[in-house]
Amino acid sequence: MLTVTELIQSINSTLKDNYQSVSFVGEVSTSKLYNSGHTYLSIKDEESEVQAVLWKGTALRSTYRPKEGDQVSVEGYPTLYNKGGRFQIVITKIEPTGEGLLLKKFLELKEKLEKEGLFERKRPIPFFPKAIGVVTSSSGAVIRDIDVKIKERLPSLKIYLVDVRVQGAGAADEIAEGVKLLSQSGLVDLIIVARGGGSLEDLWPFNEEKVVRAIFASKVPVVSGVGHETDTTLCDYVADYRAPTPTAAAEYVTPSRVLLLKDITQLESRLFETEWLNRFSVQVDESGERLDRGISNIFQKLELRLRSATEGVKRIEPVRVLSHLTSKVSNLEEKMQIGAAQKLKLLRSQIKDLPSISFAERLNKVQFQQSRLDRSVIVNFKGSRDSLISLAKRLKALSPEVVLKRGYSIVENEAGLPIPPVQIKRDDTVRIRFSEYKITAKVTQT
Amino acid sequence: MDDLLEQVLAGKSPKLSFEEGLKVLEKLVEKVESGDLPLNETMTAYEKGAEIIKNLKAELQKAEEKITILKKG
Repeated sequence: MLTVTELIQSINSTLKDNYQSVSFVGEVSTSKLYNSGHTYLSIKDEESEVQAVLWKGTALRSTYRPKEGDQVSVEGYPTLYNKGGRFQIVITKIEPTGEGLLLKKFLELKEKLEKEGLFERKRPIPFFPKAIGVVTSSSGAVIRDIDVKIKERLPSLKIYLVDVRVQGAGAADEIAEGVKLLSQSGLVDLIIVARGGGSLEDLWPFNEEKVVRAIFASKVPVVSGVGHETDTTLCDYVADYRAPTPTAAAEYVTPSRVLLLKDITQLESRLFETEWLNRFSVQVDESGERLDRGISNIFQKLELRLRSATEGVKRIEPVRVLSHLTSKVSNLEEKMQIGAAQKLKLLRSQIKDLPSISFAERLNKVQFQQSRLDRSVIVNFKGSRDSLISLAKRLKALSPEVVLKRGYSIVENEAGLPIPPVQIKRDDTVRIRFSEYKITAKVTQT
Repeated sequence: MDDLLEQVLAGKSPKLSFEEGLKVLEKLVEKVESGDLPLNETMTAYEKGAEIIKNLKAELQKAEEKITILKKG
């Protein structure tokens, strides 16, 4: 048989095995703070209710004090309390949920500040800050993360830290003061307000009106890096830039030294190493190409001309060429013969102006030309005389005298002119001419 | 910015922040690359470009990062 203690211990160990941690939501129905500092609560929904205890140590870690009517989310573990045998939840974490208090306050304040226009101003973040201010706790990971990130990206950057509490009572005052101090110091180009992740309650100081207003009043741009990516505070809304985490804030405000050096080196090499050479080599290339183009154009034209000439030659039939040439030659010969006299005259006058030719040569040429001239003159003269004789013969054959000699006669009027037969009338006196003599006659009949 | 660039091309050495220096350098390089600059200004661009590059690098090489605690919480 078990003792009572053993029974409760046994049940507790079973509970511990099966319910190491539970979380649930509900409404606080009763809440009683004892002098010991422990708080005893009842948490319920529509049908059920459970007892819970918030030990003093746990309560001090949070600024939230549960009140009756609050909607809460609870984390904890179930036990059977040995004094009174009562089942209860030992709370490890309790915070308002849904339309819980903080959220309601948050939304109300957000609406109010938004209406005032505090969230609209976004100033540019300096590209290359020389010094920055950081408002956060000097203990903890946040300042270390920022330090590491800045050492990596821009070691020349100076950091001025204002060491503040980042949660709990008084934190908001310190944060607001820190922002103001850095803004008025004139030492920094911008301010980072930072904190690690946490619950809405943990982050609450960053939702306080005085902090939001201090950030808005800052003379230099403010970057918020509060909580994790999913946490949003009013600081994020009012800041000139909202970084999702403290590390991201440090990264955002610092250009990477490595990348900047790379940029500068690239610009340097663009300026000095390649430019002249490139430009000249482009010019040289262009000239070369133009030259190439010119030469190949010339070759192309020559080739075209050659081809058309070849085709022209092919088109000409040898026989036609020969007769063409023959007629050309005889034409030339004719012209030469006709112009020989003038040419000779011309040559004679030109001979005086031909100093380089020896006298003998001139004489030769003259004699040669003269003999050609003589020949042509003789030929011409002979031809002309023959023609003249033939013409004279033909002319003679047509002469009326010759006709009369052949026995014909001519009827003339009294003036001695031949009369056409139609003009001859009856009783006209006409003269009739024979070869050797003339008679006068009277027309008796026509 | 254009004003600073003109000053630099005129052979002056205006005081430039890191950001201004970088931008002026970029513009100098673009100008030289465009081939629009007359020879004397190209030479000035080289000279001033070298000067700015030296200053920018010096600025980046500084390693005096340290945390000064202004106010202890």
